[in-house]
Amino acid sequence: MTKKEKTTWDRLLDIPQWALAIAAFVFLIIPVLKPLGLPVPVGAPAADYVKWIQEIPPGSNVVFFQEMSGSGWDEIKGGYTSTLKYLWSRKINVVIIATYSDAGPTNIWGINYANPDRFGAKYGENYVNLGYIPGIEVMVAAVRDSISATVSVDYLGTPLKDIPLMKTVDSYKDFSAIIVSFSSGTDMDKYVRQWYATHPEIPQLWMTASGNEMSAVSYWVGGMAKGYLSGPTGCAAMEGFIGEPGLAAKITDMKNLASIPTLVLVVIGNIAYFGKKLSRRES
Amino acid sequence: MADPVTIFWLGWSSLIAVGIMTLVWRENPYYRLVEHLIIGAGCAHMLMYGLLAVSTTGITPILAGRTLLIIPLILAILTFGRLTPWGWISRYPVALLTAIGIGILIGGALEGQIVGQVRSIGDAIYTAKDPFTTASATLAGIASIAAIIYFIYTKEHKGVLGGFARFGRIILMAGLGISWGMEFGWFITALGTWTENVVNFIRALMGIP
Amino acid sequence: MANVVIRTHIPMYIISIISLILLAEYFVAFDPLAAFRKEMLTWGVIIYNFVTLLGSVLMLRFHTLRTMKPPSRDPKARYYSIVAIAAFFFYLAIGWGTGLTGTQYVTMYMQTVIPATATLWGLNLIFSTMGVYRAMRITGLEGLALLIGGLSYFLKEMPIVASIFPPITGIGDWFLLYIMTPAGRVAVLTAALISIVVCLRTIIQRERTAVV
Repeated sequence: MTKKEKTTWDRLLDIPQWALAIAAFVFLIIPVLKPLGLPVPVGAPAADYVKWIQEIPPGSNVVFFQEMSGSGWDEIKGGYTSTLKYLWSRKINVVIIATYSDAGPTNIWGINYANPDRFGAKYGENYVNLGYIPGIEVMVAAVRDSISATVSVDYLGTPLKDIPLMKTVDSYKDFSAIIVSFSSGTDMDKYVRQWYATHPEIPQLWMTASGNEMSAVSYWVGGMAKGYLSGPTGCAAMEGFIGEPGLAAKITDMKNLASIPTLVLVVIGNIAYFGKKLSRRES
Repeated sequence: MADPVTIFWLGWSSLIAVGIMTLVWRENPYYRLVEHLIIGAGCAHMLMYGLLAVSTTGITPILAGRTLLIIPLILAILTFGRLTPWGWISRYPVALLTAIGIGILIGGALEGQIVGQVRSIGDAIYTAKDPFTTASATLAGIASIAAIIYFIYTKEHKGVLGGFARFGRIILMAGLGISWGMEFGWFITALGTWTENVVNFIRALMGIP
Repeated sequence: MANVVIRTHIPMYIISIISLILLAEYFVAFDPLAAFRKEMLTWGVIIYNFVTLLGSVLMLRFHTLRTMKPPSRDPKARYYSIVAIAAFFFYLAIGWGTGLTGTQYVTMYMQTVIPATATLWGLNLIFSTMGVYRAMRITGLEGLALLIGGLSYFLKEMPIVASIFPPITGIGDWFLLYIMTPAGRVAVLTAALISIVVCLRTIIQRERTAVV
């Protein structure tokens, strides 16, 4: 039986994975060696996030549920650190909670990177890190009702009754806003169920990896979230707003070139598909 | 030249990242070594944070006078019954946890997720300020209904219903394409950040700033 | 008979009764119900913790057993399990020795676990591109919708495209607001409806997966 000869179209429809892998790595390395530094486009959800964060009154309290670690940390670390910097610069007090155990170290890293001393923010007075509190949705609901009933010490083991900020902050009544950096596509549901459903007057500001935006967008349009930062592009908008582009802005540079192999492959795939279809019709 | 500690961690994280990247070629001993290293590290991390949380949420409040919390602590210990021949005793704490989860979920889901989402269809049209936005919001409303109709399996998709279902499917496919675009950006960030790390390590070794 | 009652019926009744009380609290403003809810949430946090601890213990047990008796199809698995257990104890030593909040442990975690998980996720760049190369073809209206939807967001996120063609941001936002939102809305609605149905079925004891 004779082997069917591969046409050009067949070859174009069967590009090997190794070729793509090499192209992908080359296009990822180029912006590292030669940054483009182009301005980052600000989408509507990020613009809303920036607009609403400015509405938080100075001197008020905000609870920050941080869930992100692992694969998504690089996506939101720019937004996390720039949000903290902004809140501290406006003398807004922050209570930080890690919803998953993975977020414990990233919280500490992010707080150190944001450098509270630069803004005169004192631990225990202007911000508190309660560390990891287990329970996920149960915890989110419990914290809404009473933080002191849920956990008794902060991440360093200091009793909450000995922390000045925690003497004045305990439940939803004491917070002007809630900020969440959530880790997966369904994680924002619990904040809608446990905070928005009972207290829609407390604005929610979200940040997440760009892959989770598909669920966040319908909540943003519905008003459950006032705004959100999606991935490094969104987080770069926040960095740009505070005038300190850094962690996120660097990553958006990679998106310029790293997307090219994929675009090219999609175009080639379509051209080859139609080419083969036409050539079959002709023969 | 960067300090030795920075270079060490740069090198260590690069070794880990490269080990994972070798999976593109195929599963190999280097990749498996890194994989198992992470499994052990992650497991230890979860255990330590878990035990710390037991102390902060359970033991410390009990010692401070909240003696009623002894009951959930005992129930929680029963979870380890799964490791014994009397695995059924772990059903009690799981049942309580399930009950709490159900109790707090239904109300919030009804208000926030169902009523809120349906209300937002009308809100978007009602609050639109110009004809283009009104038309777009109306299209989005029709698209939402069509996409929901696509998931009706109790009636055959024929005629008008079939037309709406087809439109709904097209909207869902477009949404799928957009969500792929979103995920793709995430992949670039994840791989790009650690590829950059590897490049920076090579530069540090070669003394290039 | 007593066995079935203790092992299955009592847990199911615990689920039904407690979830109904908590559900009533959502709809009825009554202080004792609110106090009950507050107490139950604290209990839930404590119990949840042990479920995650169980995960770690099971993982440790799996690798210990694999070290003692590796699977016949993969005898080298024993050595990898030894690596996992060694890493486990090393992290335990550093974490408890220097403190979970200390720079040493945080740096170790950030430079080990994060690069591995991020890179593993990032490799999907290559795998998903291969998939998209095969799937994103204009085979019909649906294929065209998939392609246009994908490109609208894709190009919007590229600063180079936005600087060459600024309206792409507005076009991408339009697709996000008026095409992605209906799709996302449906996903949220169906997920919420399914959750509520499963919860109600569990309350009326038609769904017994919680106690299996």
